[in-house]
Amino acid sequence: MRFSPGTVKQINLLETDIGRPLSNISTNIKFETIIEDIKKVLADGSIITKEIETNNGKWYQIMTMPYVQQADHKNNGAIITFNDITELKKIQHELNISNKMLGMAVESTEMGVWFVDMKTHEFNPSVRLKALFGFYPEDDMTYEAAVAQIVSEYQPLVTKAVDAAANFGEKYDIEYPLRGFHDGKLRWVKGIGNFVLDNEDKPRYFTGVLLDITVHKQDEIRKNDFISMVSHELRTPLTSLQGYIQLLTSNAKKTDDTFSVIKLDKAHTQVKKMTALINGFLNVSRFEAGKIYLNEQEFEMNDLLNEIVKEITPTIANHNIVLLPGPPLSVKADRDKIGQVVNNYLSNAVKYSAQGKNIEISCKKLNSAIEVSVKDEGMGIKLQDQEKLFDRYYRIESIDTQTISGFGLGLYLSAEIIQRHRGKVWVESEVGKGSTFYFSLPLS
Amino acid sequence: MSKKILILDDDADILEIISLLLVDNGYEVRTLSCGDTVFEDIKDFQPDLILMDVMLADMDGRAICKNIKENHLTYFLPVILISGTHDLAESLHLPGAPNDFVAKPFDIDYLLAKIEK
Repeated sequence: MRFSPGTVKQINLLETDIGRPLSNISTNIKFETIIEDIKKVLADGSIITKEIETNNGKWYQIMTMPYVQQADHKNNGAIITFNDITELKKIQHELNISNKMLGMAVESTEMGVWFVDMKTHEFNPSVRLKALFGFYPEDDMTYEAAVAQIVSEYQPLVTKAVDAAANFGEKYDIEYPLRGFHDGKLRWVKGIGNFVLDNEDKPRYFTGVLLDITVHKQDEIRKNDFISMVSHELRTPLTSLQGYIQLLTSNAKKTDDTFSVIKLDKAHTQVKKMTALINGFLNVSRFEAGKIYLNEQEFEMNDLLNEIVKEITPTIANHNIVLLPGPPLSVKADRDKIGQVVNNYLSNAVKYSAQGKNIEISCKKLNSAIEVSVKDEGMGIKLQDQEKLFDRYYRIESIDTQTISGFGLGLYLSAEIIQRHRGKVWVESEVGKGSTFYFSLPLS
Repeated sequence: MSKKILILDDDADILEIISLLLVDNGYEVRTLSCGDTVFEDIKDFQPDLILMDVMLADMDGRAICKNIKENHLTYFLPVILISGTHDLAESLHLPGAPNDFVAKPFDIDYLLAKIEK
């Protein structure tokens, strides 16, 4: 027997072992496990590999192959190579554990998992994913078959989102309803997807999870229905209230009863405020049900701003509202809804800045959009609050805002309205100095 | 001669206030709290305009409106729907649609302007 110096070190072979039968040599590796292999190699010249754990916890890949001499082409023995794979084994083990844990997490949240091979476009759904789409584990569910189960009006939404993610790397995160293939049940699901890049940073796999959010969604729908119903019920008495106030006002005017006219006017203002609040709620439930329709028409932005400033100025005693002059800018949008956004920006500016401060509105043309801004000298907004500002029901909790009332709906609705117009909303602000709220609308 | 308006609403207060305001503004008014007899009332009262709520206790105002618009004796009558929940702007172009609609709560001047139209 001959051996390389590495073998001495690695498996603790001794000089004195040379010439002894393998079965009598004791090293870290139990040679008896490969004696059968050596016999086979000697007999038929095959090559055998196996993995063996040593006495001291290491792993070796052992390859046994025939030792053939050039001269006589005869099989004169066996060459045995030891390859230390301890590290590899360790990594494999860790990988197994983390895979198992991931599996447990996926199972416990009942997530469906899928991936698409970007080269072959092969769609691989997990059993749970098939179940969410109402397929049995043994069914072959293609991507097209899955899409076909999505409630039809949502199909374009989903395929568009997948395309946008696959082709433009956009974030894939959507909610949609589907109907199970075998069970026919309606389920709401939330899908989140991600790309796994290859070595050249090109998308290799598109993977994702799908979560059953039916219960959550039903609660949401019930809540919206409830809000919508309550809003409606509140509107009817408000209508009569407003009518009576107007009737009394016109009578008071006829008899020159100035006192009553003034007080009734105040009552009327309160009714208007309440109407605005109710409308806010109703709009939220409508937006969420996707029931908002844009009534787009061509109009002059500066005319609209002028109108709003004229309307709002008499109701604001303690702030100076200034509309900066600008060129006429024509835009195609829903005039009333854009007006709502401007009103919301303005009333926030009034709400969150001290008396006597200035509020500036301006409108300008950018390359392919127009930009409207409302600038105040108010308390300003911290950076960490700025991004959440447009979320539903989000209100900044601080001592300064405690005494300011609101439901946290205005900016959320504004953002929704502008986004429906394919525009953008954003804010620039510095604490203590003031904020500027912007929105932009694309010029067709 | 003053213009005649037929008002249909299941809320007594709304009926009262609308008719008070309309009479004040020189209209002749008839009020109805349910839709059962609407065709007899049209025949009898010969209104120039019908004003009605979408949500009636026993009937859907939109259905009555559709009936009026599909009846060859009444199709020419202008109808304004009053609605608390429905944004009817998108349904104005459908067959059997009202001529206009007003959302609750409405400003009476706005309503009068719509009626004038």
